[in-house]
Amino acid sequence: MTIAPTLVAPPDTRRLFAAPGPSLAQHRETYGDLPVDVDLPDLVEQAGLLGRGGAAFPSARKLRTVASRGNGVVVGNAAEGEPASDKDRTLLTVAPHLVIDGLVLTARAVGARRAYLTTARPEIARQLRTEVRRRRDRLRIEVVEVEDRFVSGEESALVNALNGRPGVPSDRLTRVWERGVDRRPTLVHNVETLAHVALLARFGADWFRSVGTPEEPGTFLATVGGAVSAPGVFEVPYGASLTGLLNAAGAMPARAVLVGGYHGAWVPGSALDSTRMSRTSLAPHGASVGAGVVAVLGRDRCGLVESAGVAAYLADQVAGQCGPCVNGLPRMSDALSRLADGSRDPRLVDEVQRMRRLVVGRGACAHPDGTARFVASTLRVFADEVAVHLGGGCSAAAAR
Amino acid sequence: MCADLLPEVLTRDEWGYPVSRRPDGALDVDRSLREHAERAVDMCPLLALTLVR
Repeated sequence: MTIAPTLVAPPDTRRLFAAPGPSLAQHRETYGDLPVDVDLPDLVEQAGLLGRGGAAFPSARKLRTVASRGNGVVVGNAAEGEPASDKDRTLLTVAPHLVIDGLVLTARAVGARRAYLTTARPEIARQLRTEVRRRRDRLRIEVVEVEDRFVSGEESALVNALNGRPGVPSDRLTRVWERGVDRRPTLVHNVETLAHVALLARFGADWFRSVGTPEEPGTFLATVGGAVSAPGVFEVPYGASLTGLLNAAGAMPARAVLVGGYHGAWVPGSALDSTRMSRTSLAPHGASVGAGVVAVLGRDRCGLVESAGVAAYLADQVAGQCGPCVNGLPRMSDALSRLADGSRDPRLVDEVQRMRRLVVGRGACAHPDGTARFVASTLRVFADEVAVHLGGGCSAAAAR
Repeated sequence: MCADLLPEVLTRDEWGYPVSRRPDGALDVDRSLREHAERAVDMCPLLALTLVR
């Protein structure tokens, strides 16, 4: 492994965002040339890199599987179907060459001669094509636009889109790393994962692990929004305190904070001070870091009303392939909406719970499960609000 | 219809889709029921079932 002799590894948690600008020249100036002679699978394994697309799957495992099969294809995923997430778009605007470096290094490691970058945003696609053209990599990189739907970034949905089929998920019987794009073993990595690969290939596993936690090393990108005065994308180490992150975004006093996105879970206001952005700290709330979404529910809003809005969106975003999801999610969402709108029928709570249990594990993908998780968290964390609504009131109305 | 072919494991939800009869939602099929399970998979008009080893 070669490290540019005059280059200093980013000394703190400003790693992905250390570059002064997105141009190739600024990239090389900050991070140096693309390293050669990298044993990437070993390095990624020692670094303990976990995927940054939401599932936190160990990156070395996927890498080794596709490398061992040969004749593979690598896909950099920036589909970012999660409405509350802006990290992939931001990363590609701020450090596109870190992502492309990661793509090239990964393709080299698995012997792939073709790679893709996928995005749902035409302006990002245009910018990426421009930046790809400025480089001299031997790897053939195609930038592909995918539909802007919630499920578009799911790995089998992405592969289907690249194969010219509808961009909806497939059953999990054949995984994409066995047979994917053009029936080849396919390695799908979130673009942020690729950017971390580009850095750890330069600065090593020890450096990578020098921040974060032993179980979740390194930094990640968090999109903080909702009742905050300075919403945006922040680079933080795993294990960072949730309130620290909220303060960085200028958060107002919160009823609760949604962590992980629309398939995530609520952390109640009373627990914010003791919660960290780590798997173990978030697990008791049914949440995980996921793709780094942190959405603040202000005291002037009602958790039930906002959650009903999210559930309605998720019901609208079903791929339409599986009966239990197509039927169950709208029913669950309707019942939740009626509760939120002021219906005083207590049977609505039972209906929501019944639908929630009925849809889990019965779809081709995790959309019904993730939605059920979000709704379960809503009813748990906002149980008091449910009681208020059944009594004819709403805390948000009272707050105004 | 498929649920009727494997009543030990399956029943139907209110939309006609097969669902586990068990409270824990488990779908494992005893080896003695394998032929019935295969027929249920083949006959499901909604293509909602797959048998996995």
